[in-house]
Amino acid sequence: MTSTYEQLLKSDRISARTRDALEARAAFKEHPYRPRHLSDRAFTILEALTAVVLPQKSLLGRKALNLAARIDARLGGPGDGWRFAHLPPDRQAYELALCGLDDVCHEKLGVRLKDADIEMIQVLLNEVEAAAMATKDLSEDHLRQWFSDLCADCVQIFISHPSVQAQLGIDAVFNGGDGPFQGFEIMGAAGSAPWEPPILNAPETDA
Amino acid sequence: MKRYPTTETVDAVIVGTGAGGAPMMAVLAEAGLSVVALEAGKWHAPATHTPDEEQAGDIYWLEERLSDGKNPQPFGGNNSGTGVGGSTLHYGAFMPRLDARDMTLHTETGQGRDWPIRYEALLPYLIKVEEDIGVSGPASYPWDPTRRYAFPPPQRNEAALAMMRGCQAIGLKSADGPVALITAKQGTREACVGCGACHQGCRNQAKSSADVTYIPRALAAGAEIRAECFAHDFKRDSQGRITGVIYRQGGKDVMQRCQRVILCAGAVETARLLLHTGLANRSDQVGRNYMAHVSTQVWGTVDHVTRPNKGYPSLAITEDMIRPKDADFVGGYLIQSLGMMPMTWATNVVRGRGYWGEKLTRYLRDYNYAIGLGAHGECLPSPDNRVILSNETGRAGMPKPLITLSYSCNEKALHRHAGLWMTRIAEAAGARDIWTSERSAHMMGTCRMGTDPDDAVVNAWGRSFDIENLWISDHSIFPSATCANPAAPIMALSLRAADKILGRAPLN
Repeated sequence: MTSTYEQLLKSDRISARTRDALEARAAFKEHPYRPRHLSDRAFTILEALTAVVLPQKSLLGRKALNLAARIDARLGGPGDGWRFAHLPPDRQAYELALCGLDDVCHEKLGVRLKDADIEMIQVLLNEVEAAAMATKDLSEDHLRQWFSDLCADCVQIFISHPSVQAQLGIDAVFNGGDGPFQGFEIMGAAGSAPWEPPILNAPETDA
Repeated sequence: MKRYPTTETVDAVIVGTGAGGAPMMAVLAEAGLSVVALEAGKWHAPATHTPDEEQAGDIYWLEERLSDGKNPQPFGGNNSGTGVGGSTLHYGAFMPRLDARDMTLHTETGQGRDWPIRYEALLPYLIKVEEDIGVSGPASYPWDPTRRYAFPPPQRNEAALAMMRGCQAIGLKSADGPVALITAKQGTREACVGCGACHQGCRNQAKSSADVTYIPRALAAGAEIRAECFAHDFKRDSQGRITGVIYRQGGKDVMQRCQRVILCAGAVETARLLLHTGLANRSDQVGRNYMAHVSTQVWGTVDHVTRPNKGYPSLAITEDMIRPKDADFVGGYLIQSLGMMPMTWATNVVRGRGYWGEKLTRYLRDYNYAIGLGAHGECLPSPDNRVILSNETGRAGMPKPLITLSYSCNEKALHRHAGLWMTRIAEAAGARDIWTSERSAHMMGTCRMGTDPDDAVVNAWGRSFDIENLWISDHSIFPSATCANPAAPIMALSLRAADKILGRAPLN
């Protein structure tokens, strides 16, 4: 987290409830982590996949979040209100998809997924995304739907984290405190107010 | 708050306290009726809402739904709310009026379905809703110069400015949209300060949600709200009339005796309850004709900072596409500008753009430079798009609902058209790296109103054809989707049904 962002977290531009939530998220014990909802085997595969689905180094350097740990913890929660009808409940879908992909990886590429390199995993996931790969328990379409859930879980956990918001200069949680409710006055062409966090990682203008 | 004993036969039990239930509750209580409203969710004090999208999950309906079909719809954060105030706690509060043409689409095109009500009969209620809750809008509305709004529009954010810029460049009219929020203090409600978290719950009561508009009126007039009470069954007499509503409260079943029941639980939950109890379905139409707006989005990156979380999210509007000249589909759509909170946006990037890997990480950097546009378009009713009961048990022993949604050719064509035109607007606004996301939003249909008891669930007033003291007041009764956001017509129909219940004989 940057010092500007830490200062804002302590400021009156954020409510106590929101501050508590962000602090709890930042303090989540992810190392070492023993899975509580997935099997050890599935969890190991999830670690390998999340590193490919959402590589973090370019934004967080060596301080990568343990996305697999946070997904496992999330699988014990109430869920997000819906699931694809042909997938089993989330925890079971993860278990079946992850172990199934491990088996497919072994059959096709001759290695266990935890030992596969990034390029191999990318090849597998490209096929999953194209609905061109099935496992013992999940059809091509259902595996693709699960993969969409996996990507959504990764990015939701990632972008909600205060360290990531600090890097991207996102100030959505600083929209008003418990006392004066400030909101935002400066928007549009006027740009940002002096207090707003700097955007450390601007888009690459390759267009 | 007044409290009624469960043994007293109250005049009305209302199931659900959102856009359908809250106006009904206020009008009936103010007319002197004894009213008990059952709400599945909790009371939320507005000040406790949070812009943190994960934490804000407490105002979304998180009991699991199963989504099927070729266009499986996401629920939870997108479409369905819980808590006193229902989905109006999280709604975007975009408040366009229905277009009269959309209510007679079948007469116009031979497709879709006409409403059994004339637009002229609904309009006074739409205006009444706007006056009751507080709506802001432009001094002169380009598509209806006779229209007046009580409050001037909120400040334009960058998405609104970009859309207006783009529209002007390609010859489309645009304006500040009608928005259900107040821009000047009124009683305990403060003016909008552009915090941008409308979808996470308004903390200073500027947004005109039910909990700060109709519900205080209902409570002042003697209505009782029972929160965390989940209705799941009915008691009936030998003639088939409903004599009580059974609900689960803290693990126990309780029954409230009543003269009549008004279901206001939304297109999924109202259908689920009727299918579960097997009531009011002589027509076999309960659960059928589920509709969701074609809510195509277009996103792009501009070269200056936009901070899409700031300001009222979707201020700018164009109604020029309600009947586009180059359409290869029937009906039409509205376009609005889109700001967006980061988690919702990032989820779209994954599900709508299909990004993962390094290109996902790289693209997340564009958040603070993004502008968006969104459509809401007609979705034709189809009997195969429907809510049914799954074989999994949910809350209070009721099966979880299974919702099937597949686009027809019309929705696909409308989606393509909207994507094309919004891309043109974004390009003209100076955006690059533009992408289109196919998505649907809102829930409508499943208990449609009509004139034929064999072909509709309720009559043109919202009363069941089968059970004379059962009413439905929510978007499940919409015969067609129209292209307007559903909250205003839900509230208007609720006021109209309340008048009918009170014997005030409104227009038809």
